[in-house]
Amino acid sequence: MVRFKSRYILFKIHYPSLPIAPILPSREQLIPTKVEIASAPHYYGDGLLLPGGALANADTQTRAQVFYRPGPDSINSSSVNAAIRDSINRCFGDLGAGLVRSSVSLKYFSPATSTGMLRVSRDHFRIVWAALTFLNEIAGVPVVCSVSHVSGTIRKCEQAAISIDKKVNWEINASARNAIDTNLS
Amino acid sequence: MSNPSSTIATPLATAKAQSGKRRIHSEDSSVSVRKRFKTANARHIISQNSDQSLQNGRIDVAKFVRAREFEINALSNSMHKSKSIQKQQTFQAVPRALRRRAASHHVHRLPPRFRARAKQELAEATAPLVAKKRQRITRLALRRATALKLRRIYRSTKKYRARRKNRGLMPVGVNALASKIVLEPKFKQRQKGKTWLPTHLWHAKRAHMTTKWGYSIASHPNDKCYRPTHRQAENGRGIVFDTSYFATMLLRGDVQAVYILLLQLAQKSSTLFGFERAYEGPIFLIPSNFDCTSHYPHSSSKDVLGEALIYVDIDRSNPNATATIATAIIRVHPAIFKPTWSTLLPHVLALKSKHHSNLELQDCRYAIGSIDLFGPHCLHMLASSLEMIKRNEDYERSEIYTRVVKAGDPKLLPHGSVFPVEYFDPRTIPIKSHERRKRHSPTSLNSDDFELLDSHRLSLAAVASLSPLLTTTGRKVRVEHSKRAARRLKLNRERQDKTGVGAPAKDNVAIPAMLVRRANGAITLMLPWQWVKIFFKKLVIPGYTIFGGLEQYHQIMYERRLPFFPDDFPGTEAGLVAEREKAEEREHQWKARPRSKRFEYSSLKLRNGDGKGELGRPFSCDWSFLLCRLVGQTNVRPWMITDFKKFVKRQDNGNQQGELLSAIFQVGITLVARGRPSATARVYAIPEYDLHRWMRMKYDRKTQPSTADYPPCPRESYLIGYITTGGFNLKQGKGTAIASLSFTLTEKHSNNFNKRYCLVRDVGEDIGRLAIWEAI
Repeated sequence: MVRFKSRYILFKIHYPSLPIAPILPSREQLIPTKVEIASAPHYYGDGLLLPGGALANADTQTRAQVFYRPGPDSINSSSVNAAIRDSINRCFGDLGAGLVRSSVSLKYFSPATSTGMLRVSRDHFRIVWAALTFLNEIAGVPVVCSVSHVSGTIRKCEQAAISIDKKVNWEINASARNAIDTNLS
Repeated sequence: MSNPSSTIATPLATAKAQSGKRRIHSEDSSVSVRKRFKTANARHIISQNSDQSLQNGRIDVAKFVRAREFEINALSNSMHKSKSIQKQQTFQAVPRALRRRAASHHVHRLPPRFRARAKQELAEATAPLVAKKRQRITRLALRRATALKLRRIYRSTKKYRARRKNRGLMPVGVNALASKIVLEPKFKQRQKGKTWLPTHLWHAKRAHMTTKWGYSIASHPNDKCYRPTHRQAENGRGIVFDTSYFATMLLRGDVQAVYILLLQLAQKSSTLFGFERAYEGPIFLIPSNFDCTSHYPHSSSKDVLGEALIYVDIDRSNPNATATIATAIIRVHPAIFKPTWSTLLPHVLALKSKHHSNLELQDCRYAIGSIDLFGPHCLHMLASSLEMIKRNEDYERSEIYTRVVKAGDPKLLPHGSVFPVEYFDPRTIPIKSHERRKRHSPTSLNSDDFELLDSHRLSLAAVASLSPLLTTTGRKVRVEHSKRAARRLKLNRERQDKTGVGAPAKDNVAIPAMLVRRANGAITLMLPWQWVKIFFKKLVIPGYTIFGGLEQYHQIMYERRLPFFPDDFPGTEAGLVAEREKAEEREHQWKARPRSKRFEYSSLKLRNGDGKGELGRPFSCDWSFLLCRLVGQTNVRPWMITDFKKFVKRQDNGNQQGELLSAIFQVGITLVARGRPSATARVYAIPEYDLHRWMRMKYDRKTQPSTADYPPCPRESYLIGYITTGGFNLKQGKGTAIASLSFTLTEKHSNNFNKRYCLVRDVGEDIGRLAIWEAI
């Protein structure tokens, strides 16, 4: 009896062209006025984080905020599901779609953190991975998908997701920590 | 704050959302539906919508962080839930070591904390189990009834009642061997050819037993425990052994007489036996022409018997006594009990007849038992399971004991320190399991405590009184049935409530014990024989320490680079016997395998000019083969050098060159690179012509043994010894071994013991591995 083996893919969605205006934590308590929002620097896309971009020398906190931003409302589990199947169809045709159709399923997706976990059969997970790579639009929003972790059990994927979240939180709080350190010293 | 919204909508989930409770209002509310729902619920991970962290197109950092924390929480919960879903029944949730086959229908076989849940599950089960009705009218029942009647008649006889009076006294042989005791009279038949340890029944259910040296000893637990043993002995709460098979002898009499005999037994020329410390070291045969009046021992290092633990307890309680009575405990391995006894007894009788009429040698093999504890927290575990009786006049003793158990790790105490203690009946001490379970900090001793320990011990020694463990009357503490013991506790508590005094009531038993800190880092708790079972259970049963068998003791000694008696002592008679037994076992196993599936040692090619075939007998450490070239005889019995440094300097003039030819000494071997040596592996010295190639191996890890670059195994003339215990040492992180090398051969090849690199080759392997030896 051969056991059915599967792979769980942990992926993140990035939004290269959505604007965001990050706010520093020191101003958390104050509600910014419309003027302040308008005049705050708006960053378009995380391509700016690459060397040569406008945000290439940004501090850790800004980088984290831009790179790990949450997605718009239109991107939820059903739209992501549809987009993945569409991408498989486009890249690998009917054959590819048929191979993975029964085994691919979106186990978890959170729009708040743009993280998702896909389950695929072990034999065809590379097809799905490649399709994810070529996925550039979900519900009209241009996206870029990156795969953070692949493993044989969902437990390990969950653990990886937890460690990434912890790391991101650490980075987000970096400048706040630095401020506290400098104040204390 | 945040609204968790389920993004995977299932009909059951929506029903749940609507009702707000976990109950399904459907007609078919059977267990299976509930279970399905539970599983689906567990596998579903709750997620948040993005409007929680993104507002007006800007990122609110606090909410950003909180969104991630929510995700972490949701994922952890899902992991936890799906794990607990898998455990369908309670008995599957029980830790591996506590599982019992009958636990699925027999709730009382489970640990107490699982019983309530298991009872509920049994009630829920579809087919309720009804206990089989037993037919009482059978031949077996008749026999039982007859046996009961006979027992009642026997118990009314005088003979029985006389024996019951001396119940508490375990048999001690004075100047004669003790008679064996049988503790479980129901199983008298099974104890015919061997002696059971006090904890035999407990171990028999949990470990594989072997009969060795006349005792039935656990050889290894039923579960696989190589790594748990290592962990518990090095980092954990502790591992406990029942070592009651170690033979104890008491030598009692005038101080001078006792010292004369002990000094000769251990071949020490000075009064090494103070009263503060126990001596652990080799003991020797006393030659028959030993002159009791001479003060200098006749040293003939050839006749090593083995290792012993010797402690002298001097009774100074009566300063006006004419002669000081000393009692020496001599604790030896059962394999060498007979030789030690027969070497001591004639001299005891001789001395007794001359001037020292109160000298006697007691055989306490079945009167004093012991428990060995290893582990950095084992003293903490001791403290939490046992309670010391604090008498007002022994304030210093209790102070010391408190410090000792605070230490936690026996390695913090000085070698050979002995602490006599008196304990309450451990069954009457109510200790919450959470206290036993709590994790202790490494040690709570500070420098003041150490000073106190030292100073108090010395002052205690000056006013020492004989530990009650060493007297027959002191050991006379009866073991009551546990129900009676519980009743005694209840009465004491009521009495204390009335009087409000914390002192122990009169009928509380005081169990004498002795704690000894051993050289191998263990604590030996010596107790009266019939109390060992109760103390042992109290130390192991809560499940936070583990127990071990002979193999585990061997493993711990091996990991600490210490030789294990008798396996690693081939220079003693006991060691040779053990080696022979193991060799027979190995050969037997080899012969049992079909010829195609086993290795043919006769066809081993060593590629070094020697003919085909393994050197010597492949299943054993063939000492005859190694030493016959030197000595010229075919059957050579090696003898062990105990004081290696002394022999290197050749200060001992007693031994001539001829005797040294068959001398061997113990070494610890560490492999330089890869390799996992096993017992009986051959040890070679490195020949000069290949020295540079082997030294290159120190740094060059890329040369594979199978290539031509790898230097070949040296020839037979470079063989210097054998490995007695080997493996991969988890404590050191590399392969290590305990070996014995021939003294003269090593001297010849290693330039007077200065070159300490050697080669190790397993039996059946054709390549050697670079290693370093070090005398131990």
